[in-house]
Amino acid sequence: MKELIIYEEGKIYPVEGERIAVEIEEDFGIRCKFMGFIFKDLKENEKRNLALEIAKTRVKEIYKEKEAVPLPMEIAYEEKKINGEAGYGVIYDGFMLSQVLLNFFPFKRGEEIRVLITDRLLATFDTDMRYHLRTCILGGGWNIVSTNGLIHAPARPKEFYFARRLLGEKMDEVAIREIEEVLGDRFLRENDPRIFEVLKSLLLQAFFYSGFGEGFCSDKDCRLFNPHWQEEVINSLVKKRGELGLCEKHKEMFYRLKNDKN
Amino acid sequence: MEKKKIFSMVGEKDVTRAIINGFATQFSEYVESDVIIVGAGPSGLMAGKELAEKGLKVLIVERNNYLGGGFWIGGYLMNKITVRSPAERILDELNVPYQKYTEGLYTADGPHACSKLIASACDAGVKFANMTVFDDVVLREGNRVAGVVVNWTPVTALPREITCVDPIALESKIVIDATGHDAFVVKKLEERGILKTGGMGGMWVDLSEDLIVEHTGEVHPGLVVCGMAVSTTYGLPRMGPTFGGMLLSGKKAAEETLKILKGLLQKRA
Repeated sequence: MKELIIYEEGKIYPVEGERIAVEIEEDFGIRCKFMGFIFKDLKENEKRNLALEIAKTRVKEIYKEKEAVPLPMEIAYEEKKINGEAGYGVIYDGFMLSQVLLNFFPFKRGEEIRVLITDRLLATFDTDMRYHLRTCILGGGWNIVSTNGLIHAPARPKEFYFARRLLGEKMDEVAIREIEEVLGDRFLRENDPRIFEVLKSLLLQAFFYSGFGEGFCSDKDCRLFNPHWQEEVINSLVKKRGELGLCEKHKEMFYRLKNDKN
Repeated sequence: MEKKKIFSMVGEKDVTRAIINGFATQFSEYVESDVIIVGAGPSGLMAGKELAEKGLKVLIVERNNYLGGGFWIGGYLMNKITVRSPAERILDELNVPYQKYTEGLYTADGPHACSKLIASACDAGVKFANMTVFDDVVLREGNRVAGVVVNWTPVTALPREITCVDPIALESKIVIDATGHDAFVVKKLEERGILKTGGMGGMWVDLSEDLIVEHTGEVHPGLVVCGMAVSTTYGLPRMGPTFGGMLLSGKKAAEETLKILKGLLQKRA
């Protein structure tokens, strides 16, 4: 069975990498290790090169999928992030970023599953010819899970958007906070303790993706469900049902994967 | 007994001469400035105030008659503006009263905040060329930005065949683009193939104002970008009216400008 190796970067909401690795081992019996800050061992020249390559993965135009030509300030920003400074809001092409990580941090794909938990926002270019925010990027080398993606990518309850439409795009912060108060715990916020359990579900999806080339399930009550709404995130990835929180089909697949690879 | 007049006896010709002479003297002096800021919205005014307080000669070019941009009103045409912490400290500096709405969020009256900001910029010594529209950049060796080409705003509103009015050029050591989402100055460099911008990011991310501040700075030799023009330049995500970000971005633009000017001085020495 492949070992799940987790790295982190940026301002990570209640992740607690060590604890998540312990719980992945305890809950699922998957070998799991938390390695800490991903960029800690880079030399200065490697940091500069990596900053340039990451800056190229920025999504600058929502309707165009192409490598960006970075400006000096963008490269400097990436250098600061590589040096551990927090800061988020820039959107990156998830697949391009995964490829950059693979180029700089290659690993034995037959033996390991690498996951970076980051505060970067990730997006992928979809068949409707535009970028969409994502919570995670699976496969293609490095798996990337975005804590801020968990907050911003899945849509909030519909009432939020009705209010936004009613008030227009200039809905101010006071209005946003009042609507958020009405919506209560129906969506994830910064520092939400439920993020911890969501991350465990996403790590399990990365594990399945590595084993079967597919990490998602269509059953909303399975931890492998791919949610598009915040309420689905909470229902599918936080609430645990039955053994492992998996549907019957994926429970059987999970044990097969474990036994085959052991 | 003849009633004493309230106002002194001054003829129309004197009024006209006073306007012409006052304007011409100032305009002639500011044909060359340390810094020209294009756009008198909150970020441009803030940058101007900070720089003028440091003793720099600052001219702000504004295409409208009024100054302040969108700072007069908040969302949905309501004249309450909001700022997130730590931008309330700037409201303190400007002596603008505000109320705490929730933790880290403050509201203030738009007219009060905007007029105080304009007054602070004026008090610091900033001069304005309003009803003046940015037309082009002045370039020097290595495509360094060294000023702006401007015209009267009304010229742009008249039919082309009766507006053969050539623009004029103003020189400065640094130009700051504070033209909001339009990023007119940056876009002019892009038109000339000197720079490639990101275009305005289409996705909404409510907390992206940190990014605006972090990306505020020199985008090309001689050109600093601040405020929402930063969003356009770097293709950053869109957000609602967050004036705290604009004020802090203006402050950072001033800091970056001072660093550049210091560097230029050292280079010359």
